[in-house]
Amino acid sequence: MVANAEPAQRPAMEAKLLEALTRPGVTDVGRLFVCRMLSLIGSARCVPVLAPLLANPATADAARYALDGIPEPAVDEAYRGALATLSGSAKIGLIGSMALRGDRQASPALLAIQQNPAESAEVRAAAARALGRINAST
Amino acid sequence: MNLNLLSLNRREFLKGSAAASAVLAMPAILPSRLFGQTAPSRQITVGFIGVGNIAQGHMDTLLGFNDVKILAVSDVDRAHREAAVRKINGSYQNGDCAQYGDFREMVARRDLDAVWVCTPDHWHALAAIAAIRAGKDVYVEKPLTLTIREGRELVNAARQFKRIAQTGTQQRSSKRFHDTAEFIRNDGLGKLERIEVLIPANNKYCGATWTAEPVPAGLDWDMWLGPAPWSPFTRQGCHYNFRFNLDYAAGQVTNWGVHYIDIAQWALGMDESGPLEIEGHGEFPGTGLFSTATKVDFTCRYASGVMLRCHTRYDGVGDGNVRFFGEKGWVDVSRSASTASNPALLKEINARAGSLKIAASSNHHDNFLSCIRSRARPISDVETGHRTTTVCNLGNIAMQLGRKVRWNPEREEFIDDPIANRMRHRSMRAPWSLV
Repeated sequence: MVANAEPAQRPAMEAKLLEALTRPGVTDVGRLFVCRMLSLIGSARCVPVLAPLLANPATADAARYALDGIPEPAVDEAYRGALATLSGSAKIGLIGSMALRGDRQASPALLAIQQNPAESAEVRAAAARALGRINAST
Repeated sequence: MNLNLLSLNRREFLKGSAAASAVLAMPAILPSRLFGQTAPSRQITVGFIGVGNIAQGHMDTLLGFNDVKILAVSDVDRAHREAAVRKINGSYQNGDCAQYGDFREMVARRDLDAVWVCTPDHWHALAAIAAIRAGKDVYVEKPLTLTIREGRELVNAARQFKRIAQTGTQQRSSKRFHDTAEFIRNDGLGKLERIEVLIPANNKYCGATWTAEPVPAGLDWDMWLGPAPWSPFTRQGCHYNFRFNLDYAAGQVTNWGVHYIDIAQWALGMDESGPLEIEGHGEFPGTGLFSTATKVDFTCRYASGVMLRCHTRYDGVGDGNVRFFGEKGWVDVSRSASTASNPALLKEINARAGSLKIAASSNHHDNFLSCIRSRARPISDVETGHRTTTVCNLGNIAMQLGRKVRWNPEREEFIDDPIANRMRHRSMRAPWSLV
């Protein structure tokens, strides 16, 4: 289990896991497994590999698994970047992650979503809840 | 005291006698009609989220209370909810109980006062928080939540929305456990040295031979999974057996351990705190469907120096127990018996001579219902449920990591252990979120 690896071993493990994600033919189950391992030991090095997965509704959940727990501004930046590309359920999930991370810089984008009549009611409600959480923590 | 059962309401009856408590232990066979009717306007209206195995006892009990009315049930399994509706309507002799496949529609009803959350563990936090936000008081089955962060979020929601939230750790409403905890709190054993909690071994097994199966008609598998990672359906991993998959639960540590660790926490006065160090060496399956520990063994150190060890028993007993060791000997309590190194200690426990009196409840459901009316904190308030569940989760995390972890119970953070800190929470499958 990667979680009980020595700290010195973790960068090499992380690199191998990230490399596995870029292999052609990686399955959904395999991707999810790798991302869950990365959720424990991942660092900012994950962001360049996982940001493209965030933008795809089919892989956004797996990417969030890996990224949600990484306390790096680069993750917040990637989340803000993906916000405009997602819709529906995947977008609500992403907004929830941003809210739990307390990303204050996301407030303008979330406010725009909340006020955008083109967004679904569920997405707008998620943005409102996220803003409430972020504002309460400031 | 009015002893006319035909005119006595339930609450008067409860106040009355030990015999009343004995009768109320079997409320399902004593319909509330025996106690007379409560005006509908005074009835507490209830909905259920999840009406499978664990909900049956709750329904049976509530159907025996004349100041409670179950108005609706929700379940992702049509067979479960239709059976529940039949039971409820049959008891009330009407056709009023509504059913929902999606609990969010049910909690949006304005005519529900309280909601019982009896889902698999991975749904507890989301379902309870949704109900709280909709203005409902909640009774949440144990363990309170799947993760430590979920627990804190649930406590915060209950406080923010000023809702009553009771955890289903019902041993707090048992005199046997109450009196033992109070005895320990009053230093009945002298200086307390250590606590040993035994929990049953796993009662279900599934090897590597499981296969994905078609989702049965009437089961909304996507909704059953909810915030958990997607997984194919298999009958062996669904109802009841979810307890042994870490995606949905935490094994016997939270299935049984939570009940007995709860009594230890109570006896230690740790209802709003927890241990400082945890170390464990469990055994986890390497293959197969199940992933929770098959052998549990972890030890917590509290600030007082008391050590709490929780481990699997292999004597075939399907119950747990908690044994307190102190200067004057030991006392042991389980659902079936109290024993001690010296019988005189049991007499002292029964005498309740200590000056410190801890909160008491003789009926977990009634305690919750009373608190709905009084707005007082229930006997297993959500904070204490969260703290007890946290100890279980700390044990599981320590066993998974295979190393000692240090815990700050005030900040609810591991000290200098970023990986352990990440294990306090899990990402949720879209669209589910704690926010």
